[in-house]
Amino acid sequence: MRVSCTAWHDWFVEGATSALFVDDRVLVMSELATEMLRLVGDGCDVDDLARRLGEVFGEPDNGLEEETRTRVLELVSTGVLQVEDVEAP
Amino acid sequence: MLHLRGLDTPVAVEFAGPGGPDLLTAAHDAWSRCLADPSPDAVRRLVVVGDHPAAEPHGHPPIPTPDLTGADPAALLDRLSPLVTLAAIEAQAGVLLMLHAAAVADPVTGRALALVGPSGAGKTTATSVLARRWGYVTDETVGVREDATIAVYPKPLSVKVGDAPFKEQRSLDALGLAATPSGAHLHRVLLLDRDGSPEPWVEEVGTVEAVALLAPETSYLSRLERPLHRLARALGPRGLLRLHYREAEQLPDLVERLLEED
Repeated sequence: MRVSCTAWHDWFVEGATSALFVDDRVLVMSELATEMLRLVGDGCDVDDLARRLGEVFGEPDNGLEEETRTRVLELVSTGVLQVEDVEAP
Repeated sequence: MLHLRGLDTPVAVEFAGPGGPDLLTAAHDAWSRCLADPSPDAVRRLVVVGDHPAAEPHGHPPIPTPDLTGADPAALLDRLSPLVTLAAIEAQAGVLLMLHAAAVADPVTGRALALVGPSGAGKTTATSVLARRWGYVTDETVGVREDATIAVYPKPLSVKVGDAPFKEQRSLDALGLAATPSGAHLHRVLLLDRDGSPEPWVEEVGTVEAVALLAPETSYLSRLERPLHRLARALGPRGLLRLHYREAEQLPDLVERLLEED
């Protein structure tokens, strides 16, 4: 699964957190979400994203790839990220 | 014709109909701080018709298609105010950072304090108290230029009186509010929170949260280049303060301290 950013108006980063202006809303991004947006950049594979997040935050209890996919889909649901080539279940 | 200027924008208002002359006089008085010379660059020519006649008297020039009509002068002036504001903010979309805020400014230093809040947050009430001492900038929209100077909009105070279905447009001169200083520039931004605090107090808000809190209290933010960065620059190193208070009469001492801080 490949993940990329949607069209944002602006992204303001200060320290570890950030504010993102997408559609008509400004969302406060947590430290994890901010790092995800940094790593996604122009687009990346979710497995690569999981590996790089693991290097920064360590491995969560429910597994790195599972947690990363959950977080990515949360950001997709808020219009911040988009995914392509979704694998069949 | 009434020629106005606010938020760096000239707006013309024509008054017609039998009630037109009286309306012009009342509007001239209420909008005294926004009066300007006629401008060929006026972005809108609003037409207000008082007591719109069923048929124009023979030989009279036709009345242009009105933006507003009605028989009650006070109600017409109330409805005119947002039309003027809308014309100005539409013209400045993508140019000015426009905050839903009241503002007062120090007459000597030009330092301005913006009080941000949605309708009903207490902007006008606070302004009516603070502008007895500090220069009145606006009670509606603070337009911030790229260099942090303010495009003033000293419109009449819009005051709800009793159960009247409209707000009275009160002349700043009649209310004795201080003149708008030239060279006003943004010094501090406060987010109004009239939560009943016995004494007014402020808390600092981090910049990330501040831009998220202020964004809904802006007009045409997305039309600016890098809008969140523009908002953060306007806040400057002093950042945003959330102001907790109960009554506007509590605020002058706090405002004095904030306007004098380095």
